[in-house]
Amino acid sequence: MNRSGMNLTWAALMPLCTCLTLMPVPARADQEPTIGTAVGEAYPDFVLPTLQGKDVRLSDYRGEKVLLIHFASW
Amino acid sequence: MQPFVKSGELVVLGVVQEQHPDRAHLYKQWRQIHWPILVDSLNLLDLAVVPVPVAIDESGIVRHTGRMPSSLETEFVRKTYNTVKLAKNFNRAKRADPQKLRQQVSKSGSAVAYRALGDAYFFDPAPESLDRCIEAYRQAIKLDPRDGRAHFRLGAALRKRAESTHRRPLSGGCCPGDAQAAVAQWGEALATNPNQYIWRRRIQQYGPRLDKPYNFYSWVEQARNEIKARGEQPVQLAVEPTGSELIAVSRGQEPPDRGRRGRGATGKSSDGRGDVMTMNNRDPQGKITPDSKDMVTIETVVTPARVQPGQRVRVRATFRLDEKSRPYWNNEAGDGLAIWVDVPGVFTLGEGESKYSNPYQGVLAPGEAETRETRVLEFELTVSDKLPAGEVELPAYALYYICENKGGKCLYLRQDFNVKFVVDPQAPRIQ
Repeated sequence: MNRSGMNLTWAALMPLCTCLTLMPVPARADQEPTIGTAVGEAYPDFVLPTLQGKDVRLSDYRGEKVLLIHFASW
Repeated sequence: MQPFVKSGELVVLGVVQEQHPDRAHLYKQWRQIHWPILVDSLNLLDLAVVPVPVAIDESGIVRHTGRMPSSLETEFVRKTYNTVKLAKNFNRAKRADPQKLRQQVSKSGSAVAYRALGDAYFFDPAPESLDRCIEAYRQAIKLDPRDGRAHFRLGAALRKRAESTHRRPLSGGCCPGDAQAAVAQWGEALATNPNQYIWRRRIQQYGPRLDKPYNFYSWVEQARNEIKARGEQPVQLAVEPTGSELIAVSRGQEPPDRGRRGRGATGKSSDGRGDVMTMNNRDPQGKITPDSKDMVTIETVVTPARVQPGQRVRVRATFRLDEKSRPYWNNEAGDGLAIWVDVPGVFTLGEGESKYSNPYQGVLAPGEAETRETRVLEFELTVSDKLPAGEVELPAYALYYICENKGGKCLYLRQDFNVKFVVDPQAPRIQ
């Protein structure tokens, strides 16, 4: 490529580089944990009805500490 | 835990493994539990044991499971965990729309897809959804007969339908009703995974009294009394616990009688060595008038549906009066409802060491001359360990006093029925 071609190419790219610099960088999620029931894993989300029949998801409580108790009434 | 819940530092969430949600509701009321309880009738979460506590942090990460630390406060509630930034849609469940899922299933047609469709229909409130749920699970099983989850969930759906007004009418003895079909499906589930404790308990609660009796629902009576003592009205149960759901009491006694339970009339032998089974076929020639108008429908459920030789089955016979002709039990005549089971020598009618008389005597007059309640008789059969594998069909008949309508003609009638199950040395053992 001759000198004028390189200059032209660089000139064409400059506005793009400027735009990329000025655009906000989206926040990146941390590496997603494995979904599972072992310590260190993300407990699999589920949706189940309450005794009154209303659907509730475990993830509705994200942002809070949850003590999940699996039990039986027998 | 209560102070942390009140202060907002902790959410407690219960998930109950229970076929009958109203029983869990009564339990919650009795124990004055204030945290939300979710119902997992289908065992969707694949729990194999209970109870299992799990401590989950703000990012949804499991920090403790099973054994909790000695101080939940310092080891979990007050502990600061690194916040994990997660994508918005990471690990988010949603209630499946059965209509949309149905379209996907028609394309992929896999067993797992049909099972998911069954799950979606189970929770759908439309009246026909339970039927569609059952069909979807059946299709899943057709594609993968070893899918224990599909078998278990099909059993739960069938049991739910059996206890609803949509239960399938019995078709002249040809095919099992929903309740019997449910028991059969739970047996198939357990056969794929004999270590599944939840599945095992689901059969046991309807099956023969266990060698080590288990207190399934004997707390119900106590719960009701304590709730009333507090001045509250106990939650109404849609289906009362009966039979083996109530703990076996010591030998010679019967569980609490609510006027709907049958009693085996045992007699002591003169040498005091134990109970004696008396046999008295009252109508060997079939001379008592048959119930040709089908005023009573008899449904039998045998648990388990497949049994090893040497083990026991529990037979539950439910007697429902016809809704159209509206006959009544005549409580002023004779000795109530009785059933005779044609028990050849390879069977013993009774529960463990307690033998029953045959005919097995039933229920009892609730105080009014004519009543219309559904009646239930339960008894057990011990299968000889010498019996070969195969289908068993024991002839039986019921005798009852019934009036055609209130104040109408009263009769003493007989209805024949069968007790059916399969003897299979490979059947999962549930005792």
